[in-house]
Amino acid sequence: MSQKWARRLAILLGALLLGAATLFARVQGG
Amino acid sequence: MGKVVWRAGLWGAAYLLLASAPLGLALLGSAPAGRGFLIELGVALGLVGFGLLGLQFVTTARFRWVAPYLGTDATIQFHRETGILALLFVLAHPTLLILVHREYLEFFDPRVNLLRAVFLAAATAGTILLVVTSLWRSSFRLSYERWRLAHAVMGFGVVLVGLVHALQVGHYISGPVKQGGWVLAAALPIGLLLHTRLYKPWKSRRRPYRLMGVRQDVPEVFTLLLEADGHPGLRFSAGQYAWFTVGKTPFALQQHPFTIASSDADPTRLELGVKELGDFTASTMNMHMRTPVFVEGPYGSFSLDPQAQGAVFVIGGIGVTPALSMLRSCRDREDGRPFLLIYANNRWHEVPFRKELDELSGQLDLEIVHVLAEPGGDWQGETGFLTAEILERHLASRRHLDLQYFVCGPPPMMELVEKELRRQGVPLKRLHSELFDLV
Repeated sequence: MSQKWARRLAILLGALLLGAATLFARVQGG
Repeated sequence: MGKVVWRAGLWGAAYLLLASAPLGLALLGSAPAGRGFLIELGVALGLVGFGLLGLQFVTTARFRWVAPYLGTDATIQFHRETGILALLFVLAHPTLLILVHREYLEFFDPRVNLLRAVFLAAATAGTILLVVTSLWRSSFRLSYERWRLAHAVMGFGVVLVGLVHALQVGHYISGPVKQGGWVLAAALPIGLLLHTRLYKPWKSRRRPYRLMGVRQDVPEVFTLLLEADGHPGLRFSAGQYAWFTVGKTPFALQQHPFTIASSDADPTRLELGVKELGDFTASTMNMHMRTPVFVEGPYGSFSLDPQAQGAVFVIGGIGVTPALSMLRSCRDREDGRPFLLIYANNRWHEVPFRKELDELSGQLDLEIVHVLAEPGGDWQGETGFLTAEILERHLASRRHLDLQYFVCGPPPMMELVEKELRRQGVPLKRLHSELFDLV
């Protein structure tokens, strides 16, 4: 797997984790 | 292509699940009442940041079941990228909370709680330093060894402070079950650190090698000869690399990754091709004969597939060592498959292992295309930097074969070659690239 893929995967994961954090805040914080 | 993407997707999903585990843990059982969206978002960013920090220890634990799937340098690159990601999440956590409620500043106020303020400030600074010193190590004039020690100590410290902080705040972590879960989750990265830095060197102690010779090949390139000291040697596949520690103890901080350049047919005798670049390689000439060398490995997925119909190596400079190992091994096995080596260097007299490669071309079905950036007056071959045209010219006649492509060299060259090979229709699963600039 090339390095570019590593970067893309990391960026994608970052976005998904931000989404998970937002979902958490929605559920908890309303 | 499909298989590679699926694999990356699977690893990505596992990673995602683990990184968001602190969020899930927080909601287990009876979750406390919410404190508004922005506060909860600030808290969630901290929880995810903690998860990401913990996973940093997994990506550098040198697991054989991770690196072969992602590739070693891609794993390190991933570790770098997720390190930046962890920093962003960790910094966003106090920033957002303080922006929403000024009272949160008291976490950093030494008048309210001196110890807490000192530790949290240190952990914040530590997280920033972890990333900054890694991305710009040379600007900090940090030797590789010092950086490595500092990186491990700071990483350990930051996770520990993070854990104590989460337990002390305790909003989502009340009760012995949740607290126990958090301690266990934090024990994982700490255990991994001990595994990598203590257990693995301890294991390598049982099979020491000894330095039996240093040979200069071309200016600045040396071959180190190692011999197994009373054991059958480390079994490896040609093209793999290992971590080498020179000196009396395998626990020394001077541990360096090198590709094994010798044939995998005889693991009792290892050869390393070393370019005089870093702190370690500069001192290779001053080493005493019979100095113990501890070898941890092998690692890496840069190896020849027995099913492939042949291989093409596109190499820059000292990046030739994995190709040399594969070619030497193929010679020892009397492998009759066709090989092509496109080999970029600056000057003819600087081409590492030129003479031996010439010999190999007589013993194998091996064609070598030298590309010289600064050729002498009577040079007839390819000149300049490696270009798409040069690749096209030499690969066109081989396109009907199911070949493996190995690319190893400086980053700009690798980028160009990878892009060009993909454009020429080389499937991702047949394209292997390894960058040997790990940190």
